[in-house]
Amino acid sequence: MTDALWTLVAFLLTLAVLSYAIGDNPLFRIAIYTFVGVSAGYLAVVLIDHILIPKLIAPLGNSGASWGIVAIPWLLSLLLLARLVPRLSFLGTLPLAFLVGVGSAVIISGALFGTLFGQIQAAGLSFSPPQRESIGWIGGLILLFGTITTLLYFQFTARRTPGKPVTRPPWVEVAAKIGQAFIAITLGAFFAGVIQTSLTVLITRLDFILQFLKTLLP
Amino acid sequence: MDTVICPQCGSVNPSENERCQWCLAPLHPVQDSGQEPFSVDLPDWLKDIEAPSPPPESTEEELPDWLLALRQEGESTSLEEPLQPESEPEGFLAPDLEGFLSLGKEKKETPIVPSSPPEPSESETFPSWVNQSEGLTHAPSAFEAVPTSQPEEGLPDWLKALREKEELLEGGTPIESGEESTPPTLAGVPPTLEVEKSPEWLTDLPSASTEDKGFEISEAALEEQEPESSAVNRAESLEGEPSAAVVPPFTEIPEDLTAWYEEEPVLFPEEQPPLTSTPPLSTDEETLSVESLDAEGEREEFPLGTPPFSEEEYAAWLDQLNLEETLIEEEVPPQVPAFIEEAPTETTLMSEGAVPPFIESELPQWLAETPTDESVEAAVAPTAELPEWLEAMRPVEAVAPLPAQESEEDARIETSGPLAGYQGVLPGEPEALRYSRPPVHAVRLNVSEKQRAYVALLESLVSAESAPISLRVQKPISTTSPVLRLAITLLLAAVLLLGLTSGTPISGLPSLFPAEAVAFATTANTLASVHPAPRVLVGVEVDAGFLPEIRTASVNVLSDLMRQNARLVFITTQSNASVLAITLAQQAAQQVPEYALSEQSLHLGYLAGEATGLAAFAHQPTIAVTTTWDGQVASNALPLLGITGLQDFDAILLVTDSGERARAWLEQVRPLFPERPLLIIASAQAAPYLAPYMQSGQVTGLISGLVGSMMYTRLTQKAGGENPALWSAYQMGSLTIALLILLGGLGSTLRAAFPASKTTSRR
Repeated sequence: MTDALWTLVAFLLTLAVLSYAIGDNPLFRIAIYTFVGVSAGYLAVVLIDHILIPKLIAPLGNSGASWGIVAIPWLLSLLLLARLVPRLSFLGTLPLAFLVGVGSAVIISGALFGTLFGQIQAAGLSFSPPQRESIGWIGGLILLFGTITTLLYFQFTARRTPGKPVTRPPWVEVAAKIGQAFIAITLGAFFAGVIQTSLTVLITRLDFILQFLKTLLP
Repeated sequence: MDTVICPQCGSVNPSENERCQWCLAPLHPVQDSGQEPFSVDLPDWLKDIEAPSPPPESTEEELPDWLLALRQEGESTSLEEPLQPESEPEGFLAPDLEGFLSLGKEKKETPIVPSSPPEPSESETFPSWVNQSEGLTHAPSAFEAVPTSQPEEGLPDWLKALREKEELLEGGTPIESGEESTPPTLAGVPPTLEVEKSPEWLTDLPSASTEDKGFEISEAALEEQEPESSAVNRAESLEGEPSAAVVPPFTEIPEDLTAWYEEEPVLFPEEQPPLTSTPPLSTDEETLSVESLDAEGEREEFPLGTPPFSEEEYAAWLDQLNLEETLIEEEVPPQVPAFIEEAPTETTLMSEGAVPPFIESELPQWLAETPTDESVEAAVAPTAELPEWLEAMRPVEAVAPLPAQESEEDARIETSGPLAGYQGVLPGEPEALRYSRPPVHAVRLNVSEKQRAYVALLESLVSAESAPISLRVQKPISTTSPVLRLAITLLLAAVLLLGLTSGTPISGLPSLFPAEAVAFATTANTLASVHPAPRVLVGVEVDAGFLPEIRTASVNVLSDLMRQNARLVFITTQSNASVLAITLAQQAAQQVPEYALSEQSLHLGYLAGEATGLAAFAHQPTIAVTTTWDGQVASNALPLLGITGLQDFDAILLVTDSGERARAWLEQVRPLFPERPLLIIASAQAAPYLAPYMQSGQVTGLISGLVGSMMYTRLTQKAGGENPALWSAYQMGSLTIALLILLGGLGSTLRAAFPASKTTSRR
């Protein structure tokens, strides 16, 4: 009975979301607001139950916890709460600076060692003897050519000539056009992936509706 | 032993010494040269002053009114209260003044015992100015009315003239050698009485000032009227009074004042103005009179103080000189300091407006050329003689010689209060109270034509900025009409429903499999060869809305891992993905009933911080996550036994619908997990992001979207894993969308190619 009830709720909410096809309407808004509210409440519960209590409150009663593990989170949390008071908001800059600094360092270092170096190494692998048979020289050249032209597309510097508009050299212009084509193909691939995902989600929802309707039919 | 007083330092030396044993100054300059002992050091003008002054002519008819009033008052008080010298000074004098006057008192007592040699140690205890004053008063010892042993032949001429004049005043009593050192009035008084009546501490003092002589003179005048015994008592009482002519220690001689004296014409004795008429002596003083009767029976007042020490007036030492002469002549009373005054008297008020004679050099020439006698007479009553307009033109503050570098505040002279007459006194009232109202200036500006042009230009710019600008009305962006949008929705829904209901795909299932799918299936199903119970870290980074796309693939992969008895550890960086992970595990476990899900799997729950949390977990997983999803200690769970780091896992399986989240795992976790397989189940929209990582080898295997699920099912040969209805709807929907995109592009092209015909048709 409970499953049927929740299935009915899911069916109604699915229809409410799909009603957006005819424009903005109260059913769509009810569904959206319900989704946002439930998500926010669930997130709050998760944060309190899985973050604040085990990492901020529980160490207070743990005699074996080190002083730094107990004090530093409390200090940063209180300083961050000071931003709620306009006169003390400057105190919140310290934890914010800490978060931004650490986050930036983590992201930059990860981008360097996880993406940039790996992709540079992969571009060279196309021309290495072991990879010759799998990808081939043609594929490697296309990959290299596409990478270079795409980077040239984002080359916006040019030499200024008196009395003439600032334009890039002709060969850069041509390479930029080729790079623009590669960019369009890449964006098309991303768009296709989004369409496939959306189509799959729509198919699953329609399948859910059909299955629900089948359950209603005798 | 005979002693000689040094004219330079005043110390006592043996008579046989030619030079002072203390300062090496010649001890007998007068006998040797026949000049005044201090004539060498004194300027010429002072020598002129030393000339015998004419007999006093300041009768009561010539004296100014204020002086007459003072004398009358003094006479009345002296008659009523003959002498009250002891109690008055102590009543109103400040402690400092008392100490100051006590020094003078000591000095006064010292000549009573002239034979006592000066002790150098005691003389050193005196201030330097006292020693100087002693030297000064002893150097011109001829001024002293009681020269001890100097014969009259050794006296200078001017002193002789003075004594002659004194004799004339006193009734023609000649000053003779031997007894002339003692005033005639004290001639009958044995000196031993004074010595006996004086305290011992006073008798030890070395020398006396010339002012004391004046007191002795006054005492002598009293003794002429009283018996000897009363004279002795009177002398005792006077010993307690402060010295009348104590020279202030900080009196200086202004240079211009000295120059004035130098420029002053020398007056003959008969033309010498009476010293009693000098303005400083007669203006800023209040006499504490000790009335005594002179030889002629006239009452005289002897001031007990000194004049205020102001540069505007005479220097104190000059006053002293004048005072000495005055005392000798018994005409002018010494001055009383202005700070002793309790209230400004009429005399003081009159003196404030008087122009001192030292500014005479700055007077107009016609005024300076006036006869000297007239100026002397004017000095007697200067305020009465000067016209008002002259006083207004030349106020004292304006003509007072002030240093050029002095500030305005320093140049200000105190006009009231106990510090009246002092210069440079700190203001007692705030500066703000003395400020006057600021002047009112005209507000009208003189604007040139150029400035007017600039103003006009500025106004035009400001007006142009504030003027409303009509925005260019752009054509609204053509959007899909609701009817077209609804038509497309209905069309797509109909096609999909048709595919779902028909269950017949347009084309067969894919038979060619991409390399990443093959690698994924191969790796996922061979983990048991690496470890009998492979420990797999499963990251679930997926939203609930996109879960149906990857649900099939995820459940099939998890079930295959469960069949290999893998220990699954679920973790997520999305708050709502933990429940999805549990759901996926439960659905997969349904396909593998023998798998103990609660024992073999562990849900670590939500990992905060996204990329930062992942980095922390990659470096120290046991510290980053300490508790499980249900609140248990993570390290005690079976799947985490023996795991201290990320390298202890045999494989990582990532289920995600976002390329960004997948990239976070690749960037933060993959560098620390390079040798072990990393498998990714991604949605179709994340596949383009992950393809480069797949080709670079950073991702071991990848299956994406519904197509990837179908491929994995076919690769693993799972029965029932294929869903033809879903696949048919997917194919039909994809074709429909492709057609719609082509039609939309074609319509846009036609609209762009034939805009004119469209406009024409509208017309």
